[in-house]
Amino acid sequence: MKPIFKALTLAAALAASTALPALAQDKTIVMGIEGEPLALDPHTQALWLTARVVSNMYEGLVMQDLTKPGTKAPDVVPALAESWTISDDGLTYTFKLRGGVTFHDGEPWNAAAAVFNFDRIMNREAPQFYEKAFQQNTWWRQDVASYRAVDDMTFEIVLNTTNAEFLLRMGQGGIGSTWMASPKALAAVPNDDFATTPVGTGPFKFVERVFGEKIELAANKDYWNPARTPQYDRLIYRPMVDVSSREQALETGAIDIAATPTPDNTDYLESQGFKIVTGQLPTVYVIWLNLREEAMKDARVRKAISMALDREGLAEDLRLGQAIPAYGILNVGGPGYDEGYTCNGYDPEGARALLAEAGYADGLEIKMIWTPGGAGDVNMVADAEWFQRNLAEVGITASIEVMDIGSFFTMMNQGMQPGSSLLEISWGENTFNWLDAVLATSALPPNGYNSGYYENPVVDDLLVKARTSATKEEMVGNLHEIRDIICEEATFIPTHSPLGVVATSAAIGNFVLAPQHWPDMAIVTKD
Amino acid sequence: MTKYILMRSFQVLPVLLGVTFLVFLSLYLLPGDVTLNLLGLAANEDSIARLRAELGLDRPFSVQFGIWLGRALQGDLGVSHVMRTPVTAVVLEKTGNSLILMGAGLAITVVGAALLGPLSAVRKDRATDHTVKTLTFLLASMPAYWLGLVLIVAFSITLPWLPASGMYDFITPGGLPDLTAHLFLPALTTAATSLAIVTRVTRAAMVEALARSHVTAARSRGVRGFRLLYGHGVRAILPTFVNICGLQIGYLFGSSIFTEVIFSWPGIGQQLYTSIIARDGPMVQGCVLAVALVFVLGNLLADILIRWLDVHRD
Amino acid sequence: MTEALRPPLAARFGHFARALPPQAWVGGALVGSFVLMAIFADHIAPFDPNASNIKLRLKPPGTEGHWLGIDTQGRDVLSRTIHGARASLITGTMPVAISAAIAVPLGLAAAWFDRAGALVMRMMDVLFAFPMVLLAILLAAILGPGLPNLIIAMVLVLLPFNTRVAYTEALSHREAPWVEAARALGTPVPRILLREVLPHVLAATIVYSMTIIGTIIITAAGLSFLGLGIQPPTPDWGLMTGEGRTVLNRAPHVATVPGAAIFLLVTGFNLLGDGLRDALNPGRQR
Repeated sequence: MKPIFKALTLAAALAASTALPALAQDKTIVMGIEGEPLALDPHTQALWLTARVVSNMYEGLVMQDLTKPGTKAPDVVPALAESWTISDDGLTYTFKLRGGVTFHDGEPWNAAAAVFNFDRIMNREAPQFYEKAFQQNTWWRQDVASYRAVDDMTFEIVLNTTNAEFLLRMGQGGIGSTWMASPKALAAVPNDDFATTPVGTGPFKFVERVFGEKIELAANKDYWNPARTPQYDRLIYRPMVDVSSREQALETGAIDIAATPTPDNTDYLESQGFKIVTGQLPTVYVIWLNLREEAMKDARVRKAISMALDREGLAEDLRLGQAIPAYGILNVGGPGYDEGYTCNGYDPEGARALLAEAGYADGLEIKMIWTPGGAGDVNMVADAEWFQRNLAEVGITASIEVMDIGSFFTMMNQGMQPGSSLLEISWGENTFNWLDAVLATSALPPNGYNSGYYENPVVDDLLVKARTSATKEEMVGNLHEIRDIICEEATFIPTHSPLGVVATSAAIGNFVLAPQHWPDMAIVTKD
Repeated sequence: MTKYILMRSFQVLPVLLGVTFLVFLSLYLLPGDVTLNLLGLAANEDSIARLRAELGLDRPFSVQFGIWLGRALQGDLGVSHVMRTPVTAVVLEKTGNSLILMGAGLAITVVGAALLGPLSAVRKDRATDHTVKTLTFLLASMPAYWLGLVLIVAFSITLPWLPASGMYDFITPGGLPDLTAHLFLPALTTAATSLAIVTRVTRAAMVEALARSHVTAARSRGVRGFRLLYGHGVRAILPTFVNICGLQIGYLFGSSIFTEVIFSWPGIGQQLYTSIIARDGPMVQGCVLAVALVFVLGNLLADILIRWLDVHRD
Repeated sequence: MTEALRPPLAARFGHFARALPPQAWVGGALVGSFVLMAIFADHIAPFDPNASNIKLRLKPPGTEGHWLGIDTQGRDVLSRTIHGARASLITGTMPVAISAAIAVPLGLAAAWFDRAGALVMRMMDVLFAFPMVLLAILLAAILGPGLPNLIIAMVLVLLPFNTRVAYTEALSHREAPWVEAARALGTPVPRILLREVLPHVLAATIVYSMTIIGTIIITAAGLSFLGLGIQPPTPDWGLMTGEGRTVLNRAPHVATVPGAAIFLLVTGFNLLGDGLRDALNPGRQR
């Protein structure tokens, strides 16, 4: 027994010593991410995780400047278009395309390539038409009347209606996008297979994907923009669902960057010499109330719920400052966000009084539906338990049902069942298009995510007005009206916006979390 | 012997068919729909219906199963709904990774039990025996997910000796030594329960064997120590040993799912778990088929080995 | 005549209490103390298991007033561990009892009616072709989370095992001389089953059930560990271990303390189960 144990320890020590890092010839950055990205197709991308990878390989006519943190949507900057003009009626966008840019396979970038990509998404007659891309891009496609190549290096888009956000929507990813792929590479494979052989123009080229293990990219040394040409050779994403695995891998040097460590571990990691990078994410946690439930039909009860929630405490004590309280439906980093806005804030006394007035002096039982979510946040179920304790203070007994993300989205799409009183999920982007899928009557189950059966023709009208506004001021004005109606009715209850948090080794520099769901990996450095 | 092998192999088929049918049925009943995960914001009645048609989810159950089975027989397990990549390749890769983990677990089990079992039997009712008995008893009561965490705390955090996640270190891809280092803690975690069970059974069988007449006769002839043990005792307990090792495949699979989750080991169990969460039908099917195949074939192999030992016993 | 041939079952049970090895008593004491803990959790636990003092989060064991430390949400780990005994005892024993109640008649019937019996057992074989834990995960995902669904999933997973035990035992008694004798005397089949076979099947099932409870506790807590079982904030050892995993390097006690409780309870049940089995099968020495 003893010699055996000795042998085992010896073997372990041997194995450990051989695992020590040898000198690497090329500079590699490994990032541990929260899960497996979906298909790496720019036009059908879904999940922020997917966008994080895809955004390195692809670009649109315009992109966003992700080099500065903050609470405002990152600026739109030229990318595959050098410059653009917008006609006086706000309907015609003419893009002057950047010359001398080639795709990773050597194909030239030009107006024909832009048309080829747009055809894939929205021209049913084109051979490369992709149904899934068509469905995934409604949010910008719905306003496009036509597009054409004016000449070899000029691309024109004509809209049906003014849209003050249109340029921003051209630069957005996450859920579909207009990011450009090589026409030759697109034509070479069936649409479904293109995700396995990505070819774009971005600062990184695709090398290899091994499911569950890694997605490997190589720096595109011929990238057109010297400011964003990577100063290292390889970028490897390593899916690590488990947060403690990510942290331990960072500590042992197996990865250079760990996405989303737990709030509890950030001081500890800092004390160990790791860097913690934070930045505001353009997202907000919102409670959907089931407006078909008897109690939830009463505005006093809805307001009481909002007033029972200690958002400041949650942000400071539970999330240790890695979140900010939210009161308005307009998310931070999106249009019309106002930092000082509050509505139905923490007031347990007032909440109890409202409940008594509504006839629930003896208490009220509700059920909350929650999900641990996909990626980007580690605290969600703890939030539920925090709110549960808050609600208990004012006499509301809340039970929690946690669903996995798959069942949760299905439930949202089918609408909340009788007996479910509320759900919470985070949503939000730099654009406000997500509100169309949440607040509008047209998004009632099963046509979207208006899962609490909210119907207000005034809001429907304002949503259309906001989208088709000619100017940003007009758009923001309409959005503020929507926000104030939701506050007054308390039909949706925003609670908090989490910060993005990333832990890196000391060697990593210039890692910035701008208010976007994906960071710019091209500017990151490694000593 | 050949006849026996053929007959047993033939019996495996209806079982596999039954398993795949049951899983297909259960997936059909699984709440949630992959289309919603894929479409996200873009989900509406129209887009859902179109995507369901594209993925073949609108067809009747029997048709879906028939098509799947026909392709599976040709080695094509379809395309993952979520990853848009052929399932067969992913499943083969992940099964390979799991087999590495389980193989290492089985090796620890076999070697450990072959050493500890007989040792304990020879020293029956003495200190060594009691130590082994207590140790194996405690190991058998340990949840793999707890043991794994304790090992991480001990050998990855407190004593930073061994890596606690993944199969390779991508900063310095180090080949076999790197894999061995990554394999050590997960394999130990996976093997714990099996090691305990096999050791206990081996010990009991050996105690019985040592009491048998031909062994006592050999002992009286002056055969002692390891010659007695491995010359006479082992031969007697070999079928029991192989049998109980064969039965461990199920346990190894059971603990390996937790091990894979805790140690981020990219294996079939973890793939199955994440595919269930994502409602990725073809992937779940493929994983289940792979697991059932490994399980059934492993047991078949053990049966054949036992039979062979039986036939070739003098 | 039949009486004389039947083994003195009652006597065997009386004898077996005395034959219980000392380890079984240790196991019984362990299990018993957990049962008492579960029943009187409200009185023993120093704090409300869901009460939170967020300022104290992750304080290590030994912190004044909180012997076993504080979890990620500022709750007392000791109190939650004490209350967690309830979930584990329920998820360990209920599925075993329910599946035994289904399996005994099923196994009896299968053993008595040749063709149908073979068919039932063939169907069960299909379920044996899949590792138990993975089957449980699949079932839990289909049924959805929560205690009742967790119990149903575990019952379904256990059923083939229990049925096989009952079937094998019943089959072995089918041709036994005292059964043959009863049959020759013209005793109706249901009565033979009930009076001559059932007691043996029951005894075998009880012993088997006792040895399997530990495994079931581990598996059920494992599902909760993966988020497929008991839902927060219910104190459950598996769930607590899963939650604590995120702070393993900073505060290992959050995950390891409830895990150790699973280990202790399972050790108790295994000692008890092994003891029972040895006492009933004196020939099988382990």
